[in-house]
Amino acid sequence: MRVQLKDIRKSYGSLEVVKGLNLDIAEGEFLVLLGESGCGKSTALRMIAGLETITQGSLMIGDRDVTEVLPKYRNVAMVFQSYALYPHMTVAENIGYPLKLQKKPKDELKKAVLAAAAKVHLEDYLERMPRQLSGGQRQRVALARAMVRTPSVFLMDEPLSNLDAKLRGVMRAELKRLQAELGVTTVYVTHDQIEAMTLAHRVAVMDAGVLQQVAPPKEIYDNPATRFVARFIGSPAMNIVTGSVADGTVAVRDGSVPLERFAPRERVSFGFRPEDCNLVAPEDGMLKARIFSTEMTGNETIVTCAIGEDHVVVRMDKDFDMEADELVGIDVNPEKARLFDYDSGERVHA
Amino acid sequence: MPQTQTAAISRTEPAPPKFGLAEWIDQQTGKLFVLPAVIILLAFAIFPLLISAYLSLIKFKLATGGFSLNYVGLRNFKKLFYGSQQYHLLGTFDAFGIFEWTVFAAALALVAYWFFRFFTGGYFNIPGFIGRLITASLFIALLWLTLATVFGGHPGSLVVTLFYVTVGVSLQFGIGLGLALLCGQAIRGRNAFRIIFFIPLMVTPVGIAYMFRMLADMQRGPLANIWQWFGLGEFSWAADPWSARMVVLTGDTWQWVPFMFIVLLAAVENMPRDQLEAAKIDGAGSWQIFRDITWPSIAPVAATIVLIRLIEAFKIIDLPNVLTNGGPGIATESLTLHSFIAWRTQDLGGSAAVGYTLLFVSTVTCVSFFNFIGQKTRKTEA
Amino acid sequence: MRDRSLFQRMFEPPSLTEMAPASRLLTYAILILWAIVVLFPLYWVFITSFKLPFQVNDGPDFIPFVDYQPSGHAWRYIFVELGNDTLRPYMNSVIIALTSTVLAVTIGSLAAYALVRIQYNVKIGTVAGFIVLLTATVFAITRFGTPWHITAVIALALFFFFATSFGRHFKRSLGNNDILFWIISNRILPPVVAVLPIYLMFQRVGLLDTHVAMIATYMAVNLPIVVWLMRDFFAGIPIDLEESAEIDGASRIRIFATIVLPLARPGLAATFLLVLILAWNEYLLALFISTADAQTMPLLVAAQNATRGPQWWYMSVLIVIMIAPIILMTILLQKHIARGLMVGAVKG
Ligand SMILES: Nc1ncnc2c1ncn2[C@@H]1O[C@H](COP(=O)(O)OP(=O)(O)O)[C@@H](O)[C@H]1O
Ligand SMILES: [Mg+2]
Repeated sequence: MRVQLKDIRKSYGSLEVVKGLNLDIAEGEFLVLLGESGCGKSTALRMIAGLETITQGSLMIGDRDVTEVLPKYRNVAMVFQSYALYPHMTVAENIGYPLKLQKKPKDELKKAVLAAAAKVHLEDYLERMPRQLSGGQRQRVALARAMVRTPSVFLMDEPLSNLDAKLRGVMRAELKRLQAELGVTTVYVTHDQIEAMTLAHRVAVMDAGVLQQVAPPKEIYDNPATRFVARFIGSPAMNIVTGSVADGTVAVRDGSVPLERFAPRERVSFGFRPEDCNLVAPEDGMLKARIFSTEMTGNETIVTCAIGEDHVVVRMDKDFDMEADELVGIDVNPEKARLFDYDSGERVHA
Repeated sequence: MPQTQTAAISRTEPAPPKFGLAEWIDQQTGKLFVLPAVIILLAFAIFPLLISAYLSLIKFKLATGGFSLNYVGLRNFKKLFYGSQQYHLLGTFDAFGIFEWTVFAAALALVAYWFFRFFTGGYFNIPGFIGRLITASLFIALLWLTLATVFGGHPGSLVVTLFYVTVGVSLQFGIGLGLALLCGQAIRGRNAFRIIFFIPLMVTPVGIAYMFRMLADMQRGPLANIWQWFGLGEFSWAADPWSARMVVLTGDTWQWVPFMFIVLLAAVENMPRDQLEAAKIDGAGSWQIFRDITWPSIAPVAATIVLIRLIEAFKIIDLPNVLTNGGPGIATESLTLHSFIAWRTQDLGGSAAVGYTLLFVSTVTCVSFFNFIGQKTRKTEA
Repeated sequence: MRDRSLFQRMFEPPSLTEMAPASRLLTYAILILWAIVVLFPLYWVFITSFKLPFQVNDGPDFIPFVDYQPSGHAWRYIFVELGNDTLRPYMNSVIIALTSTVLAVTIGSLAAYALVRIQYNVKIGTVAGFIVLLTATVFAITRFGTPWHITAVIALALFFFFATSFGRHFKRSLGNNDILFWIISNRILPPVVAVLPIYLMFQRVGLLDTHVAMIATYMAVNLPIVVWLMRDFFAGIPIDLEESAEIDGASRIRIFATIVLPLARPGLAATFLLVLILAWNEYLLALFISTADAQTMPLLVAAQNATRGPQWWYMSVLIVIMIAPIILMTILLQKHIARGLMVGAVKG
């Protein structure tokens, strides 16, 4: 179902942790709330679930205003970071618990539990206790419990962050398939940008309680709306150098980059991704720099260069071999470079 | 900054309508869960407390066809503190000698230093000052009373209760801690010791009283031979105030060491092993290990259980009542027993007044302990 | 490894985790000594229950069959000749202790859980109004002899009027911790202060010396302990579990019954046993409230101080039958108790 958050705010006493969240999540959409730890993602999700009261604003699920509705009447399902499996119940009882609360007949309940368990490949573990399962299996039980009653919205709060890296990759793929299969609107909270980029139809980036940008992953990567988003998405992060715009060029310390169509500005944050620039001979480069360190990762070399106090990261191929402290020049692809207002951090368009 | 435009939201009907008794109960659970407890405590603690306050101000008299209650103001308290019952509550006094004056002066100096620290510590505040004033006044008054009655005079039920509380709780804590430290080491049979040491806590205090009467029987008890060997075969402990008090104290200690032991042992076992081992590798001696590692980590637990014991110890009655019947004379009477005896002689007002005295002393003591000692042990905790 | 002298071998620990032989010896000696201190009195009571009067009076006999010939006369007397006079207090004790414990644990757990998970805001004005009215009620009843039920009804009516009208205008309010502290602090109240009015109260309603009166009183005095201990067990249960159930549509009561209680079972066991012991051994309140019909075992035991001098053999039987079931239960559940006490003490 469609979920709409209209200027939702949350305060604990005088501390506002969610500051005016506006989101319109389409039916069947997989929306990922992405942000640093402590930025208010969980709080936002918990407000959708009804676990936290909404201080201000309104929340719609489908065409129902549920701002003041108790969690149990919202028909949402939530997967917790800790999985929240009931330790004293078997896997089958855990999965069937939501249906038991709805007083479903026994045989119907059994069928539904089996079906849900089958979706996450847990048919053989139904009689086990949660403590007898591995982390990945527990995660699946939590998913099955969320799916068993076909809710109108799935809410997931960092469901994969307790798994080891390899398992996380596997579960990510499965989660994506399941969501597509079921077609249930999903709001997924994470601080892991890879998860966000791979899973989401659209990513909503938050910072300090403020929504920064909502867009499909590619759009977020290519056209970050703010400097924060630009720095947050991508690894290594986008390079940001402070400079000024005048006469169709961006002048930074030790060089300039031709950028037409931009109005002159005193101070800007000039950003470009490590793959959108290149190292050349010192005298040919747009910017002059000194190599600070190089890291060979196997398929490429991450070169960190120093321009004055600033560090700029350049992606080079794996055969790159220069030593620290050598002088180099950096060429930037002007097409891919982005400008942000120095003070507000907002994107400056041509 | 670009944000998703939210379409105008059409307001529709709110919650799914679901009413009925079950739903109403669910809405009210907050109240339904606590109300029973609150009502019970109001009825059995607060209400009686008020009635008792009233009772302490009346005189109860059996009259023809029932009884009469006369309001007498503070006369019950006057009787206890200055009048005919003073010997019973406070004891009979003896003039201060050099020893008493020395101790008293030292205590005064200590209190003065305590206030000095409070004034110069930079945390001065009015409620804290008033609290300290009350604590200090009670401490000085009780100390004066103890010094005046114990050495020469005859202590009354107030000082005897204090004796049971302070000496008893210290003994129980000391023995309990010692046993816990010993038992917390890498020894075999720890569990057996744990179970055995726990047993006295289960035994009825009344049973303990008789048990210790049997054991303390100097002619026919199990220790009779030892007493005879010491030439004490004809000695009657029940006739001597201090030996009678010691027997009561022994019974109480026997019962309550387990409580201290079991909790302290759990605390000792919960201590982080790595710290201990690091200290041992650094060459710390046992005393240093205890002072620097063990004690700081169990101090909060220790403070809490001492507080619990303080609260409960003030209520002592079973042992003195059954073991010695309060005797010889009133030598072993605790405040609770004193109050009970007053009630039995139909002195309702006096009984309530003694009860209130107990309430005051125990509350101030426990709150003082909690604020000025208990809280300090927690400061080291993160 | 270097050679160690005899002295070193005795007094220096061989490794970090082991003890030196000398200190090990000393440790065992002290622990065994205390074990004797604990067990000997119980042993003495036990063997005394099989002694004949003359055997007790003729001086200490330590070992049955060697020092003296055990006899079951005291047991026969207590169970056959006294029969009902023993069994009735015993049954009273069982009924009163069990019922009051079940009630205290139930009511206390509910309150403890609610205080951990639900936010309360009690207006100070409401509390103050309540206390003022309660005092006035007490004063009116005792001083002017107004009929107590009428006074109570009027006071209650006034209270609700007050709470719903002016009460809400008082801003300051009490939170969960204040309520919790108040509940627990009731334990400081010496029973002897409360028991006089409770006695009078039950006398008024004609319930003195009944099971109901004893159960109600015991439940009330043990309630604070239950709240205090259970609070920490409930706080230790991950809140995610409850929130998950809440989202899935469970009511509070349902969550409490199907999620919280099963998970707090160890704590419940410890608390239950502790409160049961307290109720089973209670003496002072019984002394006031029960005189004959509802007499409990501690009273029966205490009453053995007969005119012919203490009859140790009978007392010993009574003590043995009083402590045997509790000790058995405790040994079975002692792990829980230690942990239960620990939790309460650490976080208290
Ligand atoms: N109950 C609370 N009381 C006060 N502050 C809270 C509470 N819950 C969360 N916060 C604060 O709100 C902020 C956002 O928390 P949260 O939504 O959990 O962040 P995250 O994005 O990591 O999920 C944090 O700074 C946290 O300290
Ligand atoms: Mg979070």
